[in-house]
Formats: sequence, C-alpha cells, structure tokens
Amino acid sequence: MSRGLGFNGLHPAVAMLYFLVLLVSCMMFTDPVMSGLTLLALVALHLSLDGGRTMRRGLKLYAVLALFIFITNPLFSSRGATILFYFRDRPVTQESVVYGALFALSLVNVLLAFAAYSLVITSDKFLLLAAPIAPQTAFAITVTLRFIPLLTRRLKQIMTVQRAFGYIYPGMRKKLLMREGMETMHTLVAWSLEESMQSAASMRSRGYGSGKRSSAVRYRMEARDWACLWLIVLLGSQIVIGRLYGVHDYEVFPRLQPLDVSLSAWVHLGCYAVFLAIPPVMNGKERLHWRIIRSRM
Amino acid sequence: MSESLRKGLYVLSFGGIAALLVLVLWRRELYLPLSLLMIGLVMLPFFIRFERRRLRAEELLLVAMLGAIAAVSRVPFAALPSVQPVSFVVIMAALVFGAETGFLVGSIAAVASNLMLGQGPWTPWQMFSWGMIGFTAGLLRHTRFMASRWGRAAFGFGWGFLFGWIMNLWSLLGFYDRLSWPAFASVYAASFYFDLAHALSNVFFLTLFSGIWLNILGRVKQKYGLLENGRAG
Repeated sequence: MSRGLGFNGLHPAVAMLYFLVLLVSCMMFTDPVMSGLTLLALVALHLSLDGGRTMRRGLKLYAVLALFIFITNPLFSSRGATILFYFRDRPVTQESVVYGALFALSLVNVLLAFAAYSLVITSDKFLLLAAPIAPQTAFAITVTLRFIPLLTRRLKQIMTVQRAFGYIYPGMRKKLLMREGMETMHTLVAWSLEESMQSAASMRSRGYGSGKRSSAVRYRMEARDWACLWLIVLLGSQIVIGRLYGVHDYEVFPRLQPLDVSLSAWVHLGCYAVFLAIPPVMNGKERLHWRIIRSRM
Repeated sequence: MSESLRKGLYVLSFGGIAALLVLVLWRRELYLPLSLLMIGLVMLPFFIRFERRRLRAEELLLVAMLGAIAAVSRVPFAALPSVQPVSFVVIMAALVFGAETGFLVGSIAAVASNLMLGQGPWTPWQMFSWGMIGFTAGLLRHTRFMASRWGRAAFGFGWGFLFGWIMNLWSLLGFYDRLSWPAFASVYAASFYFDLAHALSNVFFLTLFSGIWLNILGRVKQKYGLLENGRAG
C-alpha cells in the first residue's frame, strides 16, 4: 500500500518512539529556553501537520488551564526570596510567579504534544502497534471504534423518530428529557446488542479464531525509517542522559538561577533543537519537493 | 497462566507502584510521567488477564459493543451538559457480566470516547476510574446490597463522587510545586458541583432504569450463553 510521505508516512513504531521522547522531554524540562523552544517546535509541527486546525480548536482549553495555573500558583506557594507584594498577608514572590509561568508553559507543551500524537498515530497505526503485544485487547478496541459511528448514526435515526412522534421537543423539562434519552438508549441496545451477536456468528463462519490475525495495513522499515530511528535513539539518549546529569536543570527556588551557558548546555540544546526539527523538516521537505515536481510538470 | 506466575505478576505490579510513589516524593517534578506510569501499571494485570482468556467471537464482540454503547451514550443527553450515563452503562454491564468484563467495558469506553473528544494525559485516569466502577460493581453483584434498588443507588452516588476525586488527582498536578491542604481543598471544592451532578444522575438512572437494563442484558446473556460463571469472574 502507498504510504503517506513526510512525517506521517514514517513507520508507526518510529513515530511512536519519537512522541515518547518528545513527551518525556516536555515533562522533564523546566528550563525557560528549552520549554520555549519546545513550544515553538510544537506549533511548527501542528502547522505542518494540518495547518494548525486541531491546535486552534484546543486553544481555549490551553489558555484557561495555563492562566489558571499561572494565577493560582503564586497564591498558594510563597517559596522564593524576592517578595513582589502581599496578597491577604501572604507574600507573593517573583520566583513563584516565574515558576507558575514555566509550569503552565510545560503543561501546554504536554497537551500540544498529545494533540500532535493523536494526529500522527491514528487509531489504525496504534492498533497495528498494539496487536502483536495484546491481540485481544487491540481487536476489541478496533471493533469498538467501528461500532461508534454506526451507533451514533442509529441514535440520530431513533431521535428523529422520537421527534417526529413528539416525544422530544424543544424546551422540554430536564427530567422528561432524561427519561426520553434513556428510551433512546433502550431502543439502541435492543437493536444493536443482538445484531452484534449475529456479526459474531458471521465472523466465526468466515474463519475468525482459526489462526493468527494479520493486519490490513502493512509497514516495512525502509531506509528512511532506519535513518530516523537512529537519529531519534542517538539524540533522545543525549537529551535524557544530559538532563539526568543535571544539564539544563533550571532551579527557580530559592532565587532565580541564571541561564545555563556552559558548553555542555549548548551541545544539549543543539541536540534537542535537531530532535525537535525532525518532523517539521520532513514535512517541509515534502512540500518543497511537491512544489518542484509540480513546477516541472 | 500458572498460579505462581500470576502471583509474581501482581506482586511485581504492586511493587512497581510502591517504588513509583517513593520516587515521586524524591523527585516531585516527575509527578506527571510517574503518575501516568503508575496508572498504567495498575491496569496492567486486568489487560493481561483479558489476553489470557480464550474468548469466543460473541464474547469479544459483546465487550466491544458494550464499550461502544457506553461511549456513545452521551449523545442523547448532549442538551444536558452535566448529565452522562456512561457510568450507569458500565455498572449495568458489570452487574450482568462480571467484574473483569466491567473493568474492560469501562476502560474501553474511556479510550473510545476520548478518541472522539481528544486524547490527553487524562485518558489513562479515566480508563482507570471507569474501569474501577465496573470492577467494583462486578465484585458486589451477587450481594444483597446490589440486589436492592437502594443499594445500587447508593453505589452510584458514592462512585459519582469517587470518580471526580480520582480525576482531581490529575488536575492536582498543577500544584505539585507546593501541595498544601488549602490548594487540595480548593480543587476538591471546585469540583463539588460536577461530582454532585454525576452522583445524582447516577442515582436517577439507577433507580428508574436498572431493572429494564438488567432484563435486556440478562436476556442476551442467557440466549447466547455468554461469559457464564466458571468462564469469567
């Protein structure tokens, strides 16, 4: 089968590893430079994946969460040496304000990374990865995912009928609406549960359980995947080991620390920047390539 | 699976959790990754047991269908933002088909509904909470407490709050810098209204509709001989 090009076409296992390292880095770094870089890279990643549509949809949630943490953290925590002002007899320190901002930033990073993850590792790729480890669970989830659009469609049909009969109407009382909603569910369950038993019988008659399941989608490790894998392993271990040895270990308390400008910090930063650049570069290269081919046509 | 291997697995899983708890005290900034790892470890034995069971196609499809029903059950109640019967459906599935099936239905419903609403660090927590609702309901299913309508209502009321309290643990991470009792109390007070709505809607559904659901599900179970005792706990 033809694989998508760019970062989306990467072997799912490699992409999964990439996101694992990315998520761990998002959670690990409290250094303002590293977190800021992560945010920039994640925005670039989202823009290159779907033009930032998913990101814009979640924007409100991210803003509310970040603001909440930014405001509440200094109010509950009075650690730090530099007192800015007093709020109800509690000192509000510069350090805890900075800390709240950094923490809000890293939380937004984690959420953005999760959103990017679900754009790249779509459910079929996830199930492909999960099938060798947990075949029964993966299969159950596959079937559930197939049922959800079907059941949603059926629910809409049932509710159309209820509306036509006048059981559901605008401005009905809450309790009545809950009762009618349950009626919808009863119809759905009676309709679907037994039907799924028939599907099961049909599955068995076509040989379900007679051997190992194969996957509909196939991925082979290509040269590009190997190259990416090595790059991720190399850079990822640099990033994690460097962090564990205390590079970019930004301490806010008791007093704001100056930024780390040692040589090892620069190397660490460089590795991280290259790591972050992998998907946007892959996607950007694809786009350039496409433009050049098209311009030659 | 042999008995000793299974015991070893459970011990390992609990040991892992204990080690993670200690690690969190030592390095607080790792709260988020460690808590995700911990929730994963807690759920591991359930999934291993599910993998070890040789299930017929009917039983596998039943679990999947119940998970899907629980996941879409928000749709008819979309006009009422704080009302969702997901917990109710999970409890019903567990009462008829047992604790392990209840756990799976709950956690699969959480994964599936988050695939529609957006995955996040909260997904494993929801998997755990709904899974546990199913698991405990299944464990209590033959007791006199769960046989009575009031007992079931009390169970749903309790879990309405417990669910919110478990989910609050993940939002608490916003305070891990200095987790104090006032911060703790403020998070739990802020969620009180939502937890109450969850608890009350559980009571509403359980008192009015549990009889019908037990009949519908019980009928399917009997007709197709699904997940009978001895095959599943």
